[in-house]
Amino acid sequence: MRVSNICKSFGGNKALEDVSFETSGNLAIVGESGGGKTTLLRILAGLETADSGTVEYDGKIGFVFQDFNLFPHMTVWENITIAAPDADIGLLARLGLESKKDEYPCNLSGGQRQRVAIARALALDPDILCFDEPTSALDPLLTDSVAELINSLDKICIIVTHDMEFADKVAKKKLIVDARSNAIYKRKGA
Amino acid sequence: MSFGEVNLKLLEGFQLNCYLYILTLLFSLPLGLIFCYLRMGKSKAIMQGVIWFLRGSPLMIQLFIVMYVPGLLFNIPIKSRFTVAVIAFSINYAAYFCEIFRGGIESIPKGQWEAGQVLGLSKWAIERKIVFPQVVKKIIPPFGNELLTLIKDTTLARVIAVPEMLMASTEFTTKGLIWPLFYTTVFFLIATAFMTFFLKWLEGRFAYYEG
Ligand SMILES: Nc1ncnc2c1ncn2[C@@H]1O[C@H](COP(=O)(O)OP(=O)(O)OP(=O)(O)O)[C@@H](O)[C@H]1O
Ligand SMILES: [Mg+2]
Repeated sequence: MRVSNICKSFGGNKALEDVSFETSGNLAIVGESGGGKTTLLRILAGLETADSGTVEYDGKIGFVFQDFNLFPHMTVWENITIAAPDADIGLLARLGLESKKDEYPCNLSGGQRQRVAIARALALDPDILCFDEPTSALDPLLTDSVAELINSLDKICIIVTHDMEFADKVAKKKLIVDARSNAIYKRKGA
Repeated sequence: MSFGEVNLKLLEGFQLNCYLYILTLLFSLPLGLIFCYLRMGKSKAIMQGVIWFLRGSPLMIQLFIVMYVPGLLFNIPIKSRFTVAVIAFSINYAAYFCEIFRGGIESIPKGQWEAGQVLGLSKWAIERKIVFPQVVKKIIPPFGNELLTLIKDTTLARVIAVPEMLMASTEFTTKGLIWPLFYTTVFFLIATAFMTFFLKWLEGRFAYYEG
């Protein structure tokens, strides 16, 4: 994935200024609150359009929302198959959801909801998967298992987080989006 | 006049209340959807004005407007009083339904559309499979209120001489028989009781999820 010179402002507020990066493996996007991390991720996924700049990638892109955005009126399996009718049922077992197939999201724990959201994105077999703050809605004890899960995926994962330790666990490469200067630094070049 | 005869006369009037009720729903629901579409789209300002008028002025006056204005302005008077009532009621209730639909649609979080979008669903599929079922659940309570109010509102048709039940009962009053006027309440209580049961059942049908 290659991103070049992305700029985005809301009204007069510059959220992103001249952001560029390139990655072929997992990438963590870190930075302070209001720095534009979510905005950048939304631009990558096509949920927001940049004022200028380009996003290039091969294949399909998936997105796991911070608050998951599951469809509350559909069961776990319906959530997964609404866009992927041929989804493999083995996906549920892989994510530890086999007993929850016919549950509604309101009856699931936070961690289970997140796994449904991940399963829903995986069912479409994306090449790139975006995560917005995957640890923010979860018990801190679950952080490690989320990191494990992300690392087990055979995808390019782009992960927005404010947790540096978590960022180190899921990605070799880090992108720092800073609110004041909106400068981007690469660390731990991989 | 016997109890049976009074009942028969009142029932004759009540039939009109029922027809007016059903026809009003039949026309005001789709019209309300159209209003809602316009209200949420390009015609927002116009629709705000229209809805303000429809909800802000007495239905009784709207009945008179539909009765007299087409004849006075365009020389095409509406012959049937009952038709006048159906038209006025349908337009008036469409304004309320419009706002209920809009409230329902706007209560669905933006994230639901976005989730559909990143899954590659079409706009139409998102509206139909994701938004619509959730809106239905959300609007049952306010919609139910209107369904109950409309039952009682149908008696307003008497002001343009539609011989509905309340009008029929006042004919007894002029003959010195007062109790039928109060007795009409029983009909409305029975009708609203059925409607209340129906609404409870409907809410139960959508209770399988929270949200
Ligand atoms: N839809 C929007 N309309 C107006 N301003 C917005 C919008 N989305 C984001 N912004 C602004 O853009 C800036 C960056 O927001 P963004 O959500 O990308 O930050 P973030 O880095 O994800 O922060 P956090 O860590 O708190 O989630 C903020 O100043 C925010 O107010
Ligand atoms: Mg954010």
